[in-house]
Amino acid sequence: MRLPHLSHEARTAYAFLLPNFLGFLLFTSLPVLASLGLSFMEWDILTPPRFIGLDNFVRLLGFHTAQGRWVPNDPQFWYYVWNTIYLLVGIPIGIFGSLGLAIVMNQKIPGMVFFRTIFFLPTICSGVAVFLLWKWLYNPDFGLINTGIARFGDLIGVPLKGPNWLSSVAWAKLALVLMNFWIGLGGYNAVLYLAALQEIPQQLYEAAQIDGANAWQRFWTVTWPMISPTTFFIAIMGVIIGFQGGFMAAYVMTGGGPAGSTTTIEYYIYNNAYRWFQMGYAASIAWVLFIVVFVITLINWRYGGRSVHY
Amino acid sequence: MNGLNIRMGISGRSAGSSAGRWAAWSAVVVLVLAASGCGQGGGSSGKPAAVKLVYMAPGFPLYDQVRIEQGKRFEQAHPGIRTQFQAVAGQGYREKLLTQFAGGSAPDVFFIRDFDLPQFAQKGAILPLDPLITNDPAFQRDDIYPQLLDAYTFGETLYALPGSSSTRVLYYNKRLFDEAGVAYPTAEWTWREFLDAAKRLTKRDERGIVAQYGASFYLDSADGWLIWILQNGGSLFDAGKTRCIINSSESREAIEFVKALSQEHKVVPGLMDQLNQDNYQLFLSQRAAMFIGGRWYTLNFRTASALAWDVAPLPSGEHRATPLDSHGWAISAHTKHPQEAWELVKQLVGPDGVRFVIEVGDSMPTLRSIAQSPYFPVDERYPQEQHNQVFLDAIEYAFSPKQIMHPQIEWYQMSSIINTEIDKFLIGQLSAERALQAVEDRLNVLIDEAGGA
Amino acid sequence: MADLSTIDRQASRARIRMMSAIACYTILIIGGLSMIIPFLWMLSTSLKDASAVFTLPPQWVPEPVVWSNYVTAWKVVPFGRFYLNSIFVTLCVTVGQVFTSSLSAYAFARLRFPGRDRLFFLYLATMMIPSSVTMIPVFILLKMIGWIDSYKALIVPAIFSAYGTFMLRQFFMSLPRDLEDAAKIDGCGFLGIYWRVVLPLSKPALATLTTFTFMAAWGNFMWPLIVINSMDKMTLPVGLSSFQGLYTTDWPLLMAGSVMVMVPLIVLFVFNQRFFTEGIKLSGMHGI
Repeated sequence: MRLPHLSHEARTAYAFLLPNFLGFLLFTSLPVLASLGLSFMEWDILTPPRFIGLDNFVRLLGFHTAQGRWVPNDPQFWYYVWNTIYLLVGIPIGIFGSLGLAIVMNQKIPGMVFFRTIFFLPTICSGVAVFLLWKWLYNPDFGLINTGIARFGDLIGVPLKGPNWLSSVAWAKLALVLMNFWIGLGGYNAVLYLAALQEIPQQLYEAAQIDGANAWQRFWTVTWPMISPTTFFIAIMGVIIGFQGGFMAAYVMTGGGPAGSTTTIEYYIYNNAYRWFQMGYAASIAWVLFIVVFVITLINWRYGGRSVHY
Repeated sequence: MNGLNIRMGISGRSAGSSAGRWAAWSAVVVLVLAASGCGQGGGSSGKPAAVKLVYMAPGFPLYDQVRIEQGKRFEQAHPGIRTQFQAVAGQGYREKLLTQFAGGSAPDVFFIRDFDLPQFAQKGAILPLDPLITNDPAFQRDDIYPQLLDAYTFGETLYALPGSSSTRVLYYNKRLFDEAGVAYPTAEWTWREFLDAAKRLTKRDERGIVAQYGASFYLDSADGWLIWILQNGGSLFDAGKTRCIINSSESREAIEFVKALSQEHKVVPGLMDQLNQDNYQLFLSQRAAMFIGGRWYTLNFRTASALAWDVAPLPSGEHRATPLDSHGWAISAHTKHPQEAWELVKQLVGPDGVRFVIEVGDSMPTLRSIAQSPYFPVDERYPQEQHNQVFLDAIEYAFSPKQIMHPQIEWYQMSSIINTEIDKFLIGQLSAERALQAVEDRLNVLIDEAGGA
Repeated sequence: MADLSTIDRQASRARIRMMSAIACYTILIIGGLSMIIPFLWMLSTSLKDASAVFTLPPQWVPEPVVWSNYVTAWKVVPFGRFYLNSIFVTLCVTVGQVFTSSLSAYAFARLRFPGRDRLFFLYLATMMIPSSVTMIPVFILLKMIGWIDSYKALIVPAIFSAYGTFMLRQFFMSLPRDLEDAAKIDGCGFLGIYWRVVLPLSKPALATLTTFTFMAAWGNFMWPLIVINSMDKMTLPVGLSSFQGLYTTDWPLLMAGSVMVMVPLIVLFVFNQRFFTEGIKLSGMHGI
């Protein structure tokens, strides 16, 4: 960059960026680069690291032949990738749910602050307490959910028995998706949307109404475009955070089971790093995850960015 | 909308000064932040001591005070040495310990689990204690139970000394037994008596849901499964620890028995209740008549005044077996003061420290000389605990992680493999044969990898 | 005199308004009831005796009510000290983060400079690496500069967040430009625009970021556990975890402590709602 030819605007920009950027350089990018270096090493933390080149990545992503068939080097990893993606599926539904809730909570009727706080409570509540409560809810025998299903079955005359939820490989992930949806409904996304809704100038609605638009049309022509920057933010962050998700539930609630069905990539990274003395391998998993998320976000950015209305 | 605000604030300032002002402001902010933290720099205040020892253990409010006391008593006995105790609360002990090792600031003395010992020892993270013991004729190595010493031996060398320890026994709820008219467990119980009693102690309500379980126990760790497998004559590794041989008819019988307990007879809680440490809560709230656990639950059960309980040896299969769990104190290999650290370790594992953990109900005696104390096996404050001696007696047939582990395979990894495959067996995805074969295959792969490394 | 059709229209509009209000309340009340259950359970458990926590059927009203759990929880660990530490650290982090994030967000949103989008993407990229693998490098870094066991270690690394920058960038970009253009014409520099136009208009967004940052800093457990050794600098989440031992958890005390830790967050959230009602005041009825 040829400094003397920088516009005043650019110089100002760099000045604005400076405080954040310095810290970013030191405390964020340096450790990130260090973790990249670690991914090429074998490190059990207690002894000095040893350079092993691409071995970690081969072990993670490679395949070998066994009995005439191609077998992955780390079959567990691919299962955990599937688990992670499964948990991501609930996110778009959650986003729409939060948007709907935000619209409801944006109405000028008394008591809104109270309701917004109530809906935000699960996000504030101690994670351990919420997870324990949901474990109870999901108990196959006496949990409220299966009890409710049985009662509903009585009502319609068909004997219904709820699934084993967290004790079942087939249902455990779904149980987590439902739980995350419920927790996140009135949480961060709803508050973000609320803030965005506040910023929409009333004149736009009045103009639309004058043009004869009904509520549904007003939503699509005024609300949705005006909040699209926030939707864009939520979508991008949803992918970034979602791919790293599922840790707390696995750590506190399910132990990653049953049979590893609720173990996500993040939990696998943690186990490798702090339980199994394989920090280098953990770093390589993290960087493979990074590349995937980076590419998806790039696509999201280019493609989604076009439909964002500023 | 806010045009008025803007109009009022603008006074035609020149555009060029803003960048410079901002650079100045940024610098000020950074300086202020740096200065605000300046007063609280790391390191101790006060006069520098000749030697400073840091010792670290998982924190628990009841103990932290005692450990600090021990440190103070040590300081009195050894002037010129300062001690600092770091209590690490909750679940983060392992992360903190490993991070400190990574950063080169490991504590001098720290609490280590028995199953972590092989990894720490072979990676040279902890000091061998034998040389220190040889130079210290006053130390009574033989006072410590040989099984505990063995648990902390790697290769031929001793690497840590036990701070608290326990075998696992069968806790039982006397009131529930009386109500059901079942005789209390005895040392002669086998799996059959255990199952019979559990069946008679399991109560269901009108909808068929279990209101009271016959028994409850943990299976979310390798040793939980190995109780039953070893009792039936199966084994995890062969004698030379070269192969995993868990897939035997004895082992299959054992895990079939456990599966039947929870699914066919429904006398123990199901799979997901194994997690999040809920099982002891069932016993605590009197929803389970029996519970398999170590002495540390005594501390907890004593808080429930309505609970009338006692202990008995675990039922036996073809053989007797029970896990021996212990936590010990080790010295970091990077310590600058090995001799002083050794003195501290001796203090921590000595009679005073052990008496305390016995008294509060967290451990059984680790020293033979305190096998009989005012608080063990009989504690006047808790007259219902008649049979605490069974904890100590069980040490004869107890298995420590060292005995069942393979030295090259990390405990959590082995445990995770066993749990995952047996989980699949429990939910019906795999037969017992295939589940245990999968365990064998996966563990053998790890053995081969370790052998080549 | 209004004609009948006007009265009809007004009446039907009033009916619609009332119907939609009723619909809103119904959704909110039903949903709200389910949302409040964990909190009620926390309160209930915090007042129980240890053996009553896991009874079946679950006991919603404790019997007896053990108020002393709160006192015990406060005294078992130096709760008061931890509260002070948490408040200090969290306030510093929140102010710092909102400040630096808003500055850089404005630069990314409104200023043109070479490498803008690429740099922004770099910021985003750093959020894609899980903290499990960066924690040890950060620890080593802090150890090298001697910040272990100091408040600096808790505050400074947490100030720099790409999340806040990204979020505020989106908000700033959606602000109408005409006000900024007017200010520019009046000779206001970028700093002036930032301070006098953009920030005041972004109160809901800033309030939101403040709340989120505060919550994250307040609830951070692993990081203080790792970098702080002295008890007198510990923060609340670490103190709370004292109630969870290796094998057993003291649920009543843990819940009592958790409730005490949650209260400032609830207060902060309610307080920040003030900045949200401004939008409604300026406009009339909201039509979706």
